[in-house]
This record gives sequence, structure tokens and C-alpha cells, in this order.
Amino acid sequence: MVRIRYEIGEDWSGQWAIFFRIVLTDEAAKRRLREIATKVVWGLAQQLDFPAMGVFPYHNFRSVSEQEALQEPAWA
Amino acid sequence: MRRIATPAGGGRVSTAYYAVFHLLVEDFVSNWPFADQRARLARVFSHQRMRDASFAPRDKKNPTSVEMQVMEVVTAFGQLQGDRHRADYDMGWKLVGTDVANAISLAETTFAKWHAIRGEDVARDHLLSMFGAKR
Repeated sequence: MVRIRYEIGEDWSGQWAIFFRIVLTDEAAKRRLREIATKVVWGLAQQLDFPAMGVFPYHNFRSVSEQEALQEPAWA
Repeated sequence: MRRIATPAGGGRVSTAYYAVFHLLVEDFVSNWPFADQRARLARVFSHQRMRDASFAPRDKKNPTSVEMQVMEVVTAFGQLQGDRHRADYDMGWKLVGTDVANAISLAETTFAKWHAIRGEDVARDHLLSMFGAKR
């Protein structure tokens, strides 16, 4: 994993949510996505009590190369 | 440069969500004894109500393995539903190949988890909550 960014806001249904943006190495995104994604999702749930925070967690992943192509500031 | 997913990728994200949606709905209605009423019963399911159905383990600090798997199914369902909504309606979402791969992976994992726990009381109880039954 390279970095995690997040923001809190409302999702499509108006429910409060926390949106994690997780950048992975190209190798992890291409060859070990399931393993790494599971670890990241589980690890965040262990550290943060989402029900108590009143938010639903969303996790989105992209590789370094994908982010380099898109250059989205929110993922930088 | 890696390929950025085309709109077709959004279709695959939607398909991943609907696969899980139908897995749960069909599991529920297949237990209804009147086969000719199952399609109508399935239409009672609401996407948002399914996502909003609350689940908490009996002992929050010590969830059982089945409760943990139910929580993982709940989280995956919400993630897939949110991604599906963005893929279909959010024109600003820059969908990438990793989004598509993750949605498919999440759906496959959710199928396996649900098949492992679908006969458990805790899982059946939560499916009833997804249908809309109050506690």
C-alpha cells in the first residue's frame, strides 16, 4: 500500500459515509488485489468503529500508474 | 500507461453488484413454499432497505466467526451497491481497472462467504432484516 486518503460526506442515499481512497503499488493492484484489499478493509475496521461513528465505510483502490494517468488531487 | 477502464467497466461493476443482490434475494425467496409467488416476493426487496438493515454481533468485542462473516457480507454489499450507483449515475467518477477488478473480486468473495454461512441462524436472521422485517 502506498497511501490512504479519506473524506467524510453523504453517499448516494444521503447516508453519512467515510470514503477511503487507497493507492496501491502496481504489483499489488495487479497481482494481489484481493489479499491486500481484504487486509486494508479489515485493518481499518479494527481501528475505527464505523457504526459508533455513524458512517458507512467505502473503500476504493487504484494503482500508482492509474493515479499518475488521472492526476486526481483527491488521490494525491 | 495502464489502460483506464471504458464505460464498459461500469457495466461490469453493476453486474458484480446485481450478482450479489440476486444471490441474497433468491436465497430468501427460494424458501417461500409457493413457487408461483416467489417473483412477487422478490420485488418487495428494496436496494436501500437491504443496505440499511442493521447488524451487530451479540458481543461486540467478541464476535463469532459467523457474525464476522455476516459483517463482511454487509460491508461488501454496501460497497458494491455504492460502486454500482456511482458507475451508473456519477459522470464524474473516473473508473479505473482496479475498481472493476475489486468489484468482481468482492462479489466472488461474497458468494463464497454467503454459501458458507447461509444456513446459520445469524445469517438467516440478517437476510430477514434485509427483506424489511423489524426486530
